[in-house]
Amino acid sequence: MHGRLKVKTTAEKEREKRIEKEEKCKHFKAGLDKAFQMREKGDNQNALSLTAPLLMTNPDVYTLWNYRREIILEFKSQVQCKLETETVETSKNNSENDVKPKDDNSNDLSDDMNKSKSDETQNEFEILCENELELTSSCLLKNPKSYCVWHHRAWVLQTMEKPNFKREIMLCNQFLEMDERNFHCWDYRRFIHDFAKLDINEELQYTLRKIEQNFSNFSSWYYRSSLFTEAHIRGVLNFCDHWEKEYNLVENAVFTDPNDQSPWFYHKWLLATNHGENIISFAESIESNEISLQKVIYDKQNRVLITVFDKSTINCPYDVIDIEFENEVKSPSPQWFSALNDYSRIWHLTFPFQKPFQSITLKCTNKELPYEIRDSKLLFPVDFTADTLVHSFKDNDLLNDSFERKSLKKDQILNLRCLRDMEPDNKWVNLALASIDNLDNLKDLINLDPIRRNYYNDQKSKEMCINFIKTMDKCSPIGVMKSRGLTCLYFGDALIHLSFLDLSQNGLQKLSVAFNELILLETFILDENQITNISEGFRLPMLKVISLQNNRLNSKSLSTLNKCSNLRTVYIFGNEIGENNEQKIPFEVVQEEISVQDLQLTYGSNKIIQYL
Amino acid sequence: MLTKDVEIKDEYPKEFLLEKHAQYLANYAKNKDGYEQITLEYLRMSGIYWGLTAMDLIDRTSLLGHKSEILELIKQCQHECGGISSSVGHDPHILHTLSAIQILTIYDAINDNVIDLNKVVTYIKSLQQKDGSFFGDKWGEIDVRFSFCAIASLSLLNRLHEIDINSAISFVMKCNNLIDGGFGSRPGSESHAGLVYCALGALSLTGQLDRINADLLGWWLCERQLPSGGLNGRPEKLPDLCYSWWVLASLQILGRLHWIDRNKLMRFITACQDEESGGFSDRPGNLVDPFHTLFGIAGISLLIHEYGDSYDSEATAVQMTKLKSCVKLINPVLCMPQCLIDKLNIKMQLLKL
Repeated sequence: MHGRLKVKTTAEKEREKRIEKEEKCKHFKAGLDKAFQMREKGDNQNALSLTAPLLMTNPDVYTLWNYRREIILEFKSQVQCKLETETVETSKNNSENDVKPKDDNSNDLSDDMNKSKSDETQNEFEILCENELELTSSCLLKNPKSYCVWHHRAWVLQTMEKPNFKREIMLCNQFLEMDERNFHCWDYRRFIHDFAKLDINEELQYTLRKIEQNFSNFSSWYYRSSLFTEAHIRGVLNFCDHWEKEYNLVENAVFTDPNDQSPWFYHKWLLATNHGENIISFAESIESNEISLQKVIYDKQNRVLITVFDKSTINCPYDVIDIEFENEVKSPSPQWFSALNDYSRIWHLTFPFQKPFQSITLKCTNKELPYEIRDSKLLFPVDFTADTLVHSFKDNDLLNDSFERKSLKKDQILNLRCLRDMEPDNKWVNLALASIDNLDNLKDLINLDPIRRNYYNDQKSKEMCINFIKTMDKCSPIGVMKSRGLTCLYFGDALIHLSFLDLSQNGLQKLSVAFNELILLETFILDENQITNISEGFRLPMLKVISLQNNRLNSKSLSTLNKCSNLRTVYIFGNEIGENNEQKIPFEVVQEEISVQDLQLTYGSNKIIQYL
Repeated sequence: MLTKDVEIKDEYPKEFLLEKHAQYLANYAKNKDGYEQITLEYLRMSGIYWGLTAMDLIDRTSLLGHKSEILELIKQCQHECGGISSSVGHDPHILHTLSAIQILTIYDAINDNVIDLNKVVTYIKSLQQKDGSFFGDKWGEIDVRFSFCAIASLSLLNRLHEIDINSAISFVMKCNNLIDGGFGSRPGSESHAGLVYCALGALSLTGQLDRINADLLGWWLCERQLPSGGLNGRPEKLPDLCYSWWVLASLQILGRLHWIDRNKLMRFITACQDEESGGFSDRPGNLVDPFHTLFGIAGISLLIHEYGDSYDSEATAVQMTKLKSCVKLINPVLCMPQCLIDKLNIKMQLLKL
């Protein structure tokens, strides 16, 4: 019922309309019933002409198309049968001719006759298919967005002997002239392009024509990006040679109408390909079926082992652990805990024994893993003097994915700046500049585009987290990210080694499950945020102290902290939490104010962290 | 260039008209010989699912009162091959197979021998192709929607392992587009919010969401919100209420629901209600139908339960709290009340930020 305006009419008109509708409806229903009856009886005569007008009225009745396909296939097999018998007859005639004294003329004649006869049979089938194509064209004119009709047309084309691909492309041109965003038609066009193995350059030309006709045609820009990717991968062209020209095209488009988002998406894509150089790695990255270990952390004090992978799984990929003591090897069945809920990238376990050991071997014997594991067996020495040992295998890839900071030539950047000077309130140019030039633009974007303020705030937080991780002292167990306007935490897995984290004076609104990645955290300071609730799944296994002073929590909030099983003290000064809390809480709730300095003095950590 | 959008007039409804919607859906279900019911018979099974789920979310299924009749219909619609059709006389299709399974789940009748479950599984398996994709039925249409239908159906039956999950996911990922992080219906197709939802649903139920660029896709999804507050399905298109589901559910799966503006979207959704007849339409002032009614209510459910508790004003806080008590929480992947999914203990991955 898309896009049908409700029109108010008089009672009389309404009645007339209703009667007319009911009449139509009855008629349609009778036709449909008849078609279904015929199909059941196998009485297919006239079925094509009976169902055609029904489909013209309602092209989405998929069963009627199925019925037609059955009839067409039946006809096709009859035709094939006929052709086969004719071929047999021909060869029979030929062999008879072989025996007979040779009469060149008569032989030629009978060959021709046979040929024209089989052509005729073949023609009958092609005519049937042609009619079918015509019916689909008429239906499409009525409803150009019917899945069934486009599929039927593709089916007919694949069933025909000699489909006319040129005509199909013309049909697409015609329908895209009527609606340049009709994705059904674009998909059909791609089907024809692949099926007929048409020239990719012609399609590139077509998208260029469509774009030049109207810059505001995202479908064309999109198709162009995917054609270039395909052509580059297939070696038809080197996209690096085309990048500059494409950039000029899109630059021209954004200067023509800076408020039109379609070319800006293409602009963003061009930047992401990094002058064309990244086009393949960019495409391959999503195809990767491999899971790999990024980091192993062993905390001696708590006897906690943590594994961090690049992908989530429902069980820890390493299902066997060998622990090497001085003179024996034990293989206890590992009790992994997920950092998040069902699926997690981070798994941790606590060893039950006190005895020191030399090494740990992790093995993956699980055959049902949804990914291929890079290392099915890994040995880690844990014989060390520090408190926490970190084995890092792969730097967090995600750090390269900062606000997608990309490079452009000087004059290209100058042009963008010039555009912003002309159109200071245009969000798109500010967004583009934020990814190239200066993150401060994100601040302006919150004012220019307030409905997406939470997105911009989170992206700013992401940058803050990246900067923090890049510059932090990796050997310190204490992390301080105060007053940086954080609204969320990115890359928590880079902070797993921390036992003390101060996030006070930020813009956090809730204690999200994303914080669960901080497995070794013992003291968490969140004073002066705007936290209104603590997520049901929030859980930090080592957490002993949490300070939530001056937030917006209410009396119900505290019970969700119960899942932190080692929690001893909660500071809650400056929230709307009443004194008389009836819920049973296994930790001490401190109402008095305490300064961050005092918290740090009391709970600061001096753990030694060592990297391998 | 003018932005394609609609104007939200002050006269459009603002309050959530729960009882009117219940009445509208109840009447719709009863009026089986109506014009719309007959012309839309080819999607009847899905239609029943839309109405029933909407009614369950507002806790009014009792008004439908035709459970046995519907179970009987589902029984009649199962074919020899195991697939289920939209209605009697029509052919089996994976779209209606999923709808039937969802209906049986909501009615807690999945194990009541209404249909032969083994045959359903055989049917779904038979539709999987070498490249991992799924046909919609035996006639060979391929679409990421059908991948979602297959994976969702088998998850509800707890028999997901019976298909080739790895190749199924590899096909879904071939539909991923680098330009915007979104998904189209087939490899090479333009991104579309409805198909993004299907792809994310498939990835969530198989625990493979880490393959995607959640920030890029999340951004593209929040860019669907227009100044009116409504959401469109692709750049430069008009808003449509059904994207309040496809876009919101996708953002919720990505843990980025808060990237859209809640108040503005709430205003758009409530404006799509018909004060006289009840029900929701695609845009304010248009004709209502059960499809948009479900997705209007489903969108409201996510906005009130999952967006967070920071409100800009006391009035919003009051409105949201009131709605929370009368609209159930919906599961963003399977589009059914969360309490049912919890009961079945269906595992799915949801990203968090």
